[in-house]
Amino acid sequence: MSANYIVMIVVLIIWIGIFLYLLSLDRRLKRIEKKNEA
Amino acid sequence: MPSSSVSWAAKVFAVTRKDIMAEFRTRYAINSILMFALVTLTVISVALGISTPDSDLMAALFWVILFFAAMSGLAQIFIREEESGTALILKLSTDGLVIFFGKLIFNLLLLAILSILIVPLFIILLKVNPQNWTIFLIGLVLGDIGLAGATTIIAAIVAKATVKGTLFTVLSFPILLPLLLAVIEITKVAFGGGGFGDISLSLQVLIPYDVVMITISVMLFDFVWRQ
Amino acid sequence: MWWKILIFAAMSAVIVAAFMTHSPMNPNKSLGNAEVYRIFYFHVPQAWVAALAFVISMIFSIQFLRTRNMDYDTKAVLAAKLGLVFSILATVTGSIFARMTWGEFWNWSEIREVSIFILLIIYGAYFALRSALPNAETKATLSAVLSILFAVSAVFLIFILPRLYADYSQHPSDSVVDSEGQITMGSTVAIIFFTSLAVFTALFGWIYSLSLRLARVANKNLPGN
Repeated sequence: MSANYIVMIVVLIIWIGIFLYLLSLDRRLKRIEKKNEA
Repeated sequence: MPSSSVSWAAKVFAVTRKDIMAEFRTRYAINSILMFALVTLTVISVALGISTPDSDLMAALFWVILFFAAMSGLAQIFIREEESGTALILKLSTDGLVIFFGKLIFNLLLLAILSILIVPLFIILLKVNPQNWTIFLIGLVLGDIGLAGATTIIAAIVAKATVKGTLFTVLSFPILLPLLLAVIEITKVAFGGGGFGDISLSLQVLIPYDVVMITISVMLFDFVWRQ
Repeated sequence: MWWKILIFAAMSAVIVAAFMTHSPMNPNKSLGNAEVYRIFYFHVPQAWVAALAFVISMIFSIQFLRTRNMDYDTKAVLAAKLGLVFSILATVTGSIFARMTWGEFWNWSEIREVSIFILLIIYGAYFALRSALPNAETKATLSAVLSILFAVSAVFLIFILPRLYADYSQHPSDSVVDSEGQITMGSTVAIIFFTSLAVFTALFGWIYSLSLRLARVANKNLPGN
């Protein structure tokens, strides 16, 4: 069962990394879009 | 214009005739197709040596030779127009459908010549003996029609590309895959001995494939040609 | 903002549940280590998104040919790009799954493996053509024509492949629904699986909209492009 925990944590870390990357991309895009409108 | 339907066929054959004449001048497409087929056939028969593989493998090998030989030459028909700069004049002189069918007939002729030469050689050199000639010929004819019908529009697409090299084969393969699978099944039956009952499924794929591919090509050809 | 949090929470929940609940393996007919079957929760949704992206790309290609609006071309390309990523993911996870259960990484008598391989080749050919064409207009038109041809070919393959490979396939055809359309999974497995399917689809939608906005911004800020 402990092997399952390790795999789960690795997968979770990868997912959090992907999510944070997408979130930051979203933020930066919003900033540029606002600048373009102005 | 009542005479337009008559002259339409005449226009198509005029395009084909023009291409045959251009081909006779350089003999580039026919040479590359035939030499490619001959070289592959030699490689296969030398590699096999005295061993006689089963008929299923021979059916696959037969279509591999035909497929790659066709790939080496069928694109020439449009590449030639682009390279010699005659595409524009052709575009001005007649409409897309005429060009498409003219080129399609030319490619069919090329494949017919290839088949007529390669089938006896294949049978002699690789010592296969088709058990059922009718089925073999049906597969061959429908396969050739499909090969030409599906790749003529691909040839038109590839002619616009800056790097033509292997692009034709790469683009054609996913489109020809259903045809190859079906036609190899038919040839397997023809080589191994079997009746029409064994090829009904393949025919159900092959005949609609030939019809649909030519129809779709006709519908889409103007987009490519007017580009 | 709230749906981003929802995607995050749901995907995290799927990951935790996938590894903490019982394995979705059916002991009566499955082989290998039961733990391996947890990959099912990720493999199937990835394959689903790959197919979905292909269909979306197809639809926008047709839209482009009808309207000649370059926006549709951007949409078609980006869907194809994401589809390529998800098909690679599905292929890799599927291959690992196959190795651990059937003993081989790859098996050509498996219709679904053949199909995803063809999907990869189709995407490869699509991008090979795009990279070889000189200007944006030609690129858009010819690749749209090509993707319609691919879709027609795919229809024939969907018809012929199952009949050619029917005798050999080890892929369960009833792992999600049976022949009568009834859900065959246990309720826990079904909840996790369908949540995963929904989350992967939502994630695809989010990444897709991000890449579309990125393309629009890049277009506006780099006029030479």
